[in-house]
Amino acid sequence: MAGSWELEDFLPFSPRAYWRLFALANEAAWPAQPFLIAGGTLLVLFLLTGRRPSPRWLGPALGAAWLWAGWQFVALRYGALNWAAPTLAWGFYVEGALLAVLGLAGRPVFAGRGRGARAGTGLLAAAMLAWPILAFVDGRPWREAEVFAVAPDPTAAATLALLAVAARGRWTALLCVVPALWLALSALTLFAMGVWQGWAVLAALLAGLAACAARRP
Amino acid sequence: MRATRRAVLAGAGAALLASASGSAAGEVLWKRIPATGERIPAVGIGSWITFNVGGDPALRAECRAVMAAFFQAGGGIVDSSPMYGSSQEVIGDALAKLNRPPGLFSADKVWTRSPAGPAQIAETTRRWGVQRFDLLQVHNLIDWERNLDILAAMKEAGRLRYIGVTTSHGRRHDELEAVMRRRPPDFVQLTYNVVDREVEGRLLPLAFERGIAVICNRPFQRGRLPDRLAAHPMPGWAQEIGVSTWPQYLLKFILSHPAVTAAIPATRRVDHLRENKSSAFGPMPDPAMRRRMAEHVRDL
Repeated sequence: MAGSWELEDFLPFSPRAYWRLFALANEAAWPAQPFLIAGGTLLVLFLLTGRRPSPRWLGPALGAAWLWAGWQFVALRYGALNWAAPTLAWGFYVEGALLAVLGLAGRPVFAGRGRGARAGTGLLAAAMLAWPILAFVDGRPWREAEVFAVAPDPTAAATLALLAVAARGRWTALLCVVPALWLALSALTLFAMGVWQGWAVLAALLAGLAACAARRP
Repeated sequence: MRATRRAVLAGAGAALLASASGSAAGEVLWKRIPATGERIPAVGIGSWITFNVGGDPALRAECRAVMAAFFQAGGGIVDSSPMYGSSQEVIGDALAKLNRPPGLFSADKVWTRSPAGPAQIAETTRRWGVQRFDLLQVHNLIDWERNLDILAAMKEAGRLRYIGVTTSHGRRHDELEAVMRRRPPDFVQLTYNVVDREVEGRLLPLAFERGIAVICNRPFQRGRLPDRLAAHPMPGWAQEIGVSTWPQYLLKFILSHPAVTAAIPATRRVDHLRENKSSAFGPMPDPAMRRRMAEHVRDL
């Protein structure tokens, strides 16, 4: 209708062009994906068996994932469709740097217990193992699968999940900000595209925030 | 080629359309740019969303195929904006790979505050790979007075052929009207389709009166109109104007307004492009038929 804007009017690209970005990002990262999924599976099993990963290797690993996803996907590929994306990529660089530096300094300590940590482990499994299947469920080719460290949404969801496994603290809360904001923005984008995946991202955001809030000190 | 607003409002559309189009019955519809009398095809192509495909080689090839079909069908206005992501680069890439086919009427926009305008225009020119633009427009009236100064200087220097101002979604019509009265550009671009008809009240008659060419964006409401109408059968009387599909119906309605110079539907499909182009063939609706068309869609 004339005189009114709708959410979709602010999106300058089509769902088809957006989904194709994942195929191009996967091509650039191949054959890292099987190793990333295998690593994610081991991390979930590690947590399920009650062991707690050291931040000194997990922090830099997560940081590298954010830097790669921010640079290769958000800035380079998404940036070609959305002029705001290169600016958004700076959030990924800040989050990646913080995770790496704090991790090397021994923070945060991934030693949370209770419901929050269990929910976090569940969300981590979803981000690492279920997220790549969403493209297939949507009837799209496997090459458009969203994999942790290559695609931004599972990277943000996995990070929120791991922060739910960490002990409470100022730094942990700070590290939640960028993943939560990205997931909120991504959900809005997907809703504007009129695709059901927006609900999956929103569910991950709410589950991650709830898990973080349910942590024990 | 001037007419009074009263004549337009009185519905002397058929005669005025013939005057504005300069085309005989049975020919493809071209329309005159009032400022110069130059004739251009009435169906152009927009690039919002559809051509924003980044560096994806497969999707770029699809856009190139659409552009190739567009020029095979006579060409016309190709419209873009710095706001449209990678669309400018995709158009430039297609033009280069198609060996710069004849029939291009290049139209883009300046979408920034004035001090940054010349740099943005230079970047836009580089992306298209053209020597100069046929038309540059002030996008959504942004800093329009100073940007019009920049464009006027370019036109004066022979680096630009036409100047325009755009709006969309029915926004800022009062301001657009003020521009048309105070500083009439060669072109205005606005939203007009069979359901978004507010511009019929003042802006289209004013454009006709002042000799301003009109480009209509969002002719299909970003695809929503054909999608909604697809559930309904085409009325039998539409055959009188050579219409067999809803996109043809929607475009013929727009193109038959005597003040309209061109519509710029966007598409990423060659079959849709050909269907859009086919709307410029055959008989055009007269004022009575136009009323019938609008009422029919309203009542569905």
